[in-house]
Amino acid sequence: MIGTLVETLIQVSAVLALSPLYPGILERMKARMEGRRGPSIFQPYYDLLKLSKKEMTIPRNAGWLFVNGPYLVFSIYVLISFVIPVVYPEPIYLTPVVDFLGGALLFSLSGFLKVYESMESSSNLVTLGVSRNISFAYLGEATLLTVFIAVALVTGTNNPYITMEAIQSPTEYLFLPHITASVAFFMLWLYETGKLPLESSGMSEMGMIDGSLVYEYSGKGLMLLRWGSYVKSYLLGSVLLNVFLIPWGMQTGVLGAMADVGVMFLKWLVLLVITVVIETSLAKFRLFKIQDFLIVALVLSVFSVILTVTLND
Amino acid sequence: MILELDLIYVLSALSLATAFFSNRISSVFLVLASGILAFYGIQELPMGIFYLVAGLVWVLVAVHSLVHYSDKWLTMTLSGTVLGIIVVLTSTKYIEFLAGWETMTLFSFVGIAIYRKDWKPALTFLAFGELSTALLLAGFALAYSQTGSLAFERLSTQLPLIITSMGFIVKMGIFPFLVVEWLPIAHGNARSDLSAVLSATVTMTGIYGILKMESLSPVSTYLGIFLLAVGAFSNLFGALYSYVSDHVKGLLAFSTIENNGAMLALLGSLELVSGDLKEFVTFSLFTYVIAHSLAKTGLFLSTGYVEGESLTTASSFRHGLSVLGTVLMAMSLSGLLPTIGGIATWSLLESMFMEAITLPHFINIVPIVAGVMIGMGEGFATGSLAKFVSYTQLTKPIKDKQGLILAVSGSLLLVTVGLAYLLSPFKTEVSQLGVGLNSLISSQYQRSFGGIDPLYILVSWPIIALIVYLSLGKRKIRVVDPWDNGSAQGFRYTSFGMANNVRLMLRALLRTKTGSLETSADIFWQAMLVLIRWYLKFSRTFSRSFMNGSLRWYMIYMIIAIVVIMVITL
Repeated sequence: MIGTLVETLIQVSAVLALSPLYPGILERMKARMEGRRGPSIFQPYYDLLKLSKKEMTIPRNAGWLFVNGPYLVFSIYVLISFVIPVVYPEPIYLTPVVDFLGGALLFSLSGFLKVYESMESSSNLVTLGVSRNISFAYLGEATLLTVFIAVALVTGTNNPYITMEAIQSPTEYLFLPHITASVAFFMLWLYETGKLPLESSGMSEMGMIDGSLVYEYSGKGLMLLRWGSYVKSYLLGSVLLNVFLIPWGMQTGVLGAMADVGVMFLKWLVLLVITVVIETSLAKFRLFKIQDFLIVALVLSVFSVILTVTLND
Repeated sequence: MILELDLIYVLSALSLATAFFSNRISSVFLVLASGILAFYGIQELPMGIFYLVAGLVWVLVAVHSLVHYSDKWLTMTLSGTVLGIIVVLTSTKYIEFLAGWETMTLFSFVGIAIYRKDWKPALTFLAFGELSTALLLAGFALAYSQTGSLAFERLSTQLPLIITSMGFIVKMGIFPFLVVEWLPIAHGNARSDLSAVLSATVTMTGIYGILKMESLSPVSTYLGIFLLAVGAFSNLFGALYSYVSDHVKGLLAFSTIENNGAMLALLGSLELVSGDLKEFVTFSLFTYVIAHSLAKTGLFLSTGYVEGESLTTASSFRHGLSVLGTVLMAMSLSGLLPTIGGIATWSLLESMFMEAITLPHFINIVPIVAGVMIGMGEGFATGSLAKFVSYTQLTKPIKDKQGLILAVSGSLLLVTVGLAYLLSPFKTEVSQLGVGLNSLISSQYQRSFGGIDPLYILVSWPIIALIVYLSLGKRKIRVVDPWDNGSAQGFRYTSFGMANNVRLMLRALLRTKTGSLETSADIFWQAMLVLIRWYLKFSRTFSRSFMNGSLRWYMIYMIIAIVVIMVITL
């Protein structure tokens, strides 16, 4: 019981503490690749700290949802960090609260709240971003659901831990549906975390999507939303690594849980290198081309599900 | 039980009769009848869920009507519609069902017609309503020919089920009859309370009817596949049209089609599966009925506080409680946990994918495609409701005390999570990893598939939020004007503009015409109009060529018609 409690604490605290580190490393790697010195890898922490000390400015029309929404959004990400294998490979406390599909619905809940709280600002720039966000949500949501189901069907259960264990077998790992689902999820991860070639991380009006949702936020509200987006990126990226790309190497037990933090760091370095190569070698897509990109991801995930049920008896 | 039913009939009849004299007295009788029906429903679970949901919906509607309206004639049509639905839901004979069905249709027709004194949408509603009745009559007549009884009894073939299902589908506004739902509500602009009853409970009778006939008939795999495919298709297109609609009520009416599509897909699934999975699919259907009816009632009632028909130009009253209520309703209709709508969507998608595992090869591709279409539909549904709530509640500056009934409607979507526990067929008895209280709702086919615990989400989410709030300490807040590119004119992005990306990206599907203003159209309604024009042209040409007063051609036509009828009859 105490062992599970410690494992739970290690997983959740590692998610919260280390999630800002990876964007910092990514920025540094990108800068080096482009011949610049770049910011410190701890820059996201400095930014969060600075924001936590600033006052919150709220638009005149905003109500309780705008002010308290960031707390609710951040809490959803904290809750998700209990339920999916993002650091420790075995179930911890509160893990049974949702299955794989339920986890996808919790991600959707956080997206829903981000849209609603930001709309209370009545800003036209925010609505522009919301409009863009929703325009692609129908493909993003369907892909997320289908890709989670694609791996769930491999084992016939919707439990991410059982799936993670099953995928470690070379026959399952090299199974064609698993490969197509992995590619689909990687494409979705690029979209969901705002990586090139889909969305630049800046606030350029021509292409910004998620950036405009936090346009009217400042102070603690903005800090929580930024931190929340780091946690989201970490959660989705870790699922991509543990259940799709590199399911091996995780340790069990209390000491194993501590070691898993390091193992996850190494796995993340691999993902960051791949991301840096993509971000520095591809140009940004035009806004409407995002739809084509997501349709390819959706078709791949559907293809994966159909292949799984056809090839598996 | 019989006493309770009699009391419900008497009270609802009194509600109808007293509507001629007083709106208030009529509404009070309606509240009493609905309350007793809801109580009766709790005793008759699981099928009593239809009584319970209808009762809760009508209590909300009647209280809203009592507080806000005084028109006796419109209240009379509301009471008449409710009386018809009560007869439908409690009927034990085909003839009673049809009587209730017609009562419901006729009172709704009058309610739509007299509100704006515009007969066109009301006549559209009546025409499709009568088409539905004709199909039900044919199906019930066939059933009578098999059993020799007017009572609902077990049938020997699937034909009555197939014919009546088509009748119920027409009433539910399912593809290709999308127009049945949106046109009367959007153009006729029925009063908000009647719109809520039409959208939440009239269409629910269609679900109830198909489920009842399915329970009496032998299984039909082909019908199952058809309902599943058509339901998923309607879900996607209903959600898409809802998103691009700028009409306050039209958007919600399309959202009803989307939800009806999801429920129809589940009704189709019931024909395809058996055992544990069938129990789970039934559970999913019931939770969908609760989620859709309650949330849609609240949202339609919220339109009573909106002035104007276009979301872009409408103004609205707003209150902290009404924001809370509408956000909860939108959350539920977007299929998000921990609301009852989240449980419904989760169980629907799990059902689809468990069917993919259990059904024979090739047939199992249908639920996969259906699941993906429903997933895409959920994306559009989230967008359309975000648009509705934003432009009726969040971005409007007018503030007023109009929130209680909406807050109650929204809260019901959390309270009814308890009902999902009552209805859930599978639970895990063992406390595991901090999740106890027997609160896990699990999904199963021959084995366990997945599970969720909405109660724990409902409890742990606010606790975590509170911990985050307390750990970050006090906030300093300053109110400022939002940035509008420095114009200082308070420019606002319109609701119409919000959906323009999709109008342009899906221009082939939406028949978008670009120009000074992009417009889109319901291609199914357009296709239906084209077919009607072709038919009229053909019949005119045919009548002028062959039925032009020539006795010889007339005799040949009569002989052919008799031969065709004889062949069909034989």
